[in-house]
Amino acid sequence: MVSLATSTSASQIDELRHSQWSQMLRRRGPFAPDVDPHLDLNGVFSSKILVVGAGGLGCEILKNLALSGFRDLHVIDMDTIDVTNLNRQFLFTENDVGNPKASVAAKAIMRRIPSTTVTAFHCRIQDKPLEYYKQFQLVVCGLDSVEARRWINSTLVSISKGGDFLPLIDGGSEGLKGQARVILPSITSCYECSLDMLTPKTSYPICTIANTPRLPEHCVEWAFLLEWPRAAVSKSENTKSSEEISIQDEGSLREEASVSLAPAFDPDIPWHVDWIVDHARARAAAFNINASEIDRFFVLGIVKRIIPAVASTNAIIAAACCNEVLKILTDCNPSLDNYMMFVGEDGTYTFTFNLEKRSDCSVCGVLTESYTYSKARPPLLSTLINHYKTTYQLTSPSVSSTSGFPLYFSSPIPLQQATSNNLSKPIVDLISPSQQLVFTDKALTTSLYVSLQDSDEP
Amino acid sequence: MDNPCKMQKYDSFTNSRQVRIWKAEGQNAIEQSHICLLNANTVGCEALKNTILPGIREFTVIDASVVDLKHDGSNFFVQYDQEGQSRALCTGTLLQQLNPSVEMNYQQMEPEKLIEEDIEFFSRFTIVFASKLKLNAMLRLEAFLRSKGIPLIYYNSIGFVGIIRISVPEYTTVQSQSEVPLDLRLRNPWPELIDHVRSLNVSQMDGTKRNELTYIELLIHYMLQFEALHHRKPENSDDRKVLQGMIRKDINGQASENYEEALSSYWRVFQEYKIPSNVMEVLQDEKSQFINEKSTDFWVMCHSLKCFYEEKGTLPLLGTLPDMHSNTQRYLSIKHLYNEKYLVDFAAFKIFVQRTLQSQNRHVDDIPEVIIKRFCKNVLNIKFLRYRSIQEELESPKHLDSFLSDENSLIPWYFAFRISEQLLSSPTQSSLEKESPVVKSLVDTLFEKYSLKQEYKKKVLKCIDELSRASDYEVHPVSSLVGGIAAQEAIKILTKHYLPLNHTCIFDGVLSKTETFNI
Repeated sequence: MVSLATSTSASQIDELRHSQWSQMLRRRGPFAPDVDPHLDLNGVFSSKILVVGAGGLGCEILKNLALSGFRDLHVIDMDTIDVTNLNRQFLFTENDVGNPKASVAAKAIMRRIPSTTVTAFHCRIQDKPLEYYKQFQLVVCGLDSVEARRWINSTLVSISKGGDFLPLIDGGSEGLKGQARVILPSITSCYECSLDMLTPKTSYPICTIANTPRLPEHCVEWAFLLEWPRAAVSKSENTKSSEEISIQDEGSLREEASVSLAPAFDPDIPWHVDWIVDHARARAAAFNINASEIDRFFVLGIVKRIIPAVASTNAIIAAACCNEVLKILTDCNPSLDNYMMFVGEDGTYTFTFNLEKRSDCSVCGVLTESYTYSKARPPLLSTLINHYKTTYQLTSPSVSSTSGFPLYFSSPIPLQQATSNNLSKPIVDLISPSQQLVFTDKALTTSLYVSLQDSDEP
Repeated sequence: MDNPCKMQKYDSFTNSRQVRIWKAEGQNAIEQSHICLLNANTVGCEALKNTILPGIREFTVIDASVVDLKHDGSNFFVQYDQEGQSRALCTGTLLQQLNPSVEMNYQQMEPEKLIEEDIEFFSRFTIVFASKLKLNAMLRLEAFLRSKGIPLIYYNSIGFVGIIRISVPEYTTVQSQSEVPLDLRLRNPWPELIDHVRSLNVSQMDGTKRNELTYIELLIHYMLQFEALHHRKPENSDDRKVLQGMIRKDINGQASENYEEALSSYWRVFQEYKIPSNVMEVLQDEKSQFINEKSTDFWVMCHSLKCFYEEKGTLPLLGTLPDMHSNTQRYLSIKHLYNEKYLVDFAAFKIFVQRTLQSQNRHVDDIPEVIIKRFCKNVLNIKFLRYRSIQEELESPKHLDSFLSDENSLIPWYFAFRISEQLLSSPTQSSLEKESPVVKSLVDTLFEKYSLKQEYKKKVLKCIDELSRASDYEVHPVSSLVGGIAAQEAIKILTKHYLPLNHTCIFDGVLSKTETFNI
């Protein structure tokens, strides 16, 4: 979609809208004494920013960035709009239900703030190549899944290992709690470093669900985890039996659907949910458990693992994230170092701290070693390789210098043949003193960096 | 310009994710509320947005300005082509689009004028959001709202810093937290529970049968055994070892998860029954002790609870049990026992409530049973908060010196905001600049008025310096955050779930930190 940014009146409006903001960004402050009074605002506001997610946090993030002057935003979201989104994903209206979140959000922002271009992608983040992510100055995430966060985190860390600096601001919210963090890949702690901070989700022991249910929740889990797959299997083995399924008919839709029971349970299909309600209730009755709580609302809470969500918490967390974005990109004040937790149940409480990078993090971590050798007898590359092969029980390691220059590669064959001559060379002939050796191997989850120290000792 | 379209109210299904937090009664409270916004600046519109989205019934915007992109550039709820138009109308219209079923009203007028000429106008509101009011008007409004029990939520956002202040005489709740505390009464079980455990004859049971018992039955059994042997309840550290030994001895094989649960909870047998501090505070408050015809239902029930406690020595049993290892039948039977006791306690409590109502010449069923039930089921989570008024705060602030002496405290911003408000209220309209003689003299006066140590002036001036970078510009993300906090506090007050902050919160966007003060 062609933006109005090219027209004069839109940029005049933009200038007027941001005139005070521009003044502020060029003005030194007591916490930012090095602000450049001639800061190139055009450059700053042209920074390319990627917003991951166009849901509760994403809508807020897009609004915040556009109104902070940023003109070039991309947004990725694989979902379409559902009616249950409308109480907080404010860029969408009832008319938009069914349409892709990313495109609707982009259009809504551009309508309100024409000087900002938002390019939308209705796809998964994994569908985009590495090169796509390299074009951005910064990435802001408003995701609701651990896997997606891990993916984007490791993608940006690997980009950063190639030398590009690509900050990641990550926000998450649940009920009246949330967090905003600044990740400078390879420099500060990354998302993977803090995986063990995640609270485990409620799950019930399978023997309780299968044999000794006590709570209505157990009955629902039984219906959805055990009984549905069983019924689906017996259904598909016996194609005639549309009458076999004991669902109370509510209309022709159900009848049509009952002819071919879908193998995969889909919580967005009403009669699937009703089937669970009915079977969970029957199970509860069989065990004398009070089933009055079991209705659609109750069942959906369990099968969709629904996380409560409110507009105000999303607003707070998204704002905290975008505040960091603009501080990082404009340098007008120091940025968060590096994690802010927010809890809104007892007053308004935040806990801000520096989450430490883990040296053994499987994504951003590095193992470091130091090898001291006598100046008189520098080791051969093969000696070093064997030493660390033993120490770390490596299988077939490869070594390069920190500048990326391959010293010895055990595979592929052509590279192995090209570098095998290096094995018998003294290490000092292969790399300069300031460089480290970088070992990679199947047995290592992260690279091994070895610094070399010479000594006068024999 | 976008046209608002009147569509059908969203299905309550729409709100399902938030209803999981504050339940149907909380959602009803939101849907009956009417919120007033005084001054439709960025932070105000953001606050209102986050209450419109969850489904308030109605809102009213009072604002005298016309849209000026130079000042309203960071506001999402004005359009770039609305320069010169009424800000109240423009923002009101765009805000209404967030939820087509919400009713929008607006008045193009200065809030101060309305406060002076028709203060009664405000009695229609459930909550009032306000910022950038002249001090006299704000205090006049606060006095009126407090007399009606209507919460005032005041806030300000300048550059990278914000402040939120809540003023309401009192907040009461039966849902101060979402956790349901455990109320097992293991040390002092009631007669029916004791009889039940005795009737099990645990000592004669074989290992397999014992593995089906709940840890509650196990612990009471072992405690009774201890009592029989030692003629007293277990109390000291030696007794702990003895009790643990008794439990361990009977563990039979691997499938003894109930015994594991008993071992990790055995210490509960040593706990004397104690009322949590929040409930104690409620019972000891004047409003529980002295009831009159003006007492709200909450205090009527608290008074009744006090009577119940004085007669029975305990609060009504909660009756809820967490999940625990046992077979279905055993679990359900113990659950049944707890529920029966709850019903007995509830019936007794209800009689106390009815008596209290009668003593105030109110009808015995004036408080619906469903409300009494909710109180009773949440009796361990009842809590109240009282708020100092802004008037009191300005006249006799508390603890300012000790806050200032903490070098990590955000309190210096508080003074910067106070100065900014004074400048707004003064006829000369000076701007917030560190070097301005007006500002310097205001700081001096403030420090003198509150007898504050001179050495802290520097901190305050540093804050003023930072705020002066902004002039009065609102940095959108900061205003969005401050508005978010204001709205969240409003929602908590409306739904009576959780606890609102008491009473002033400062957000420092430089450090990304908040701090709450009760001044």
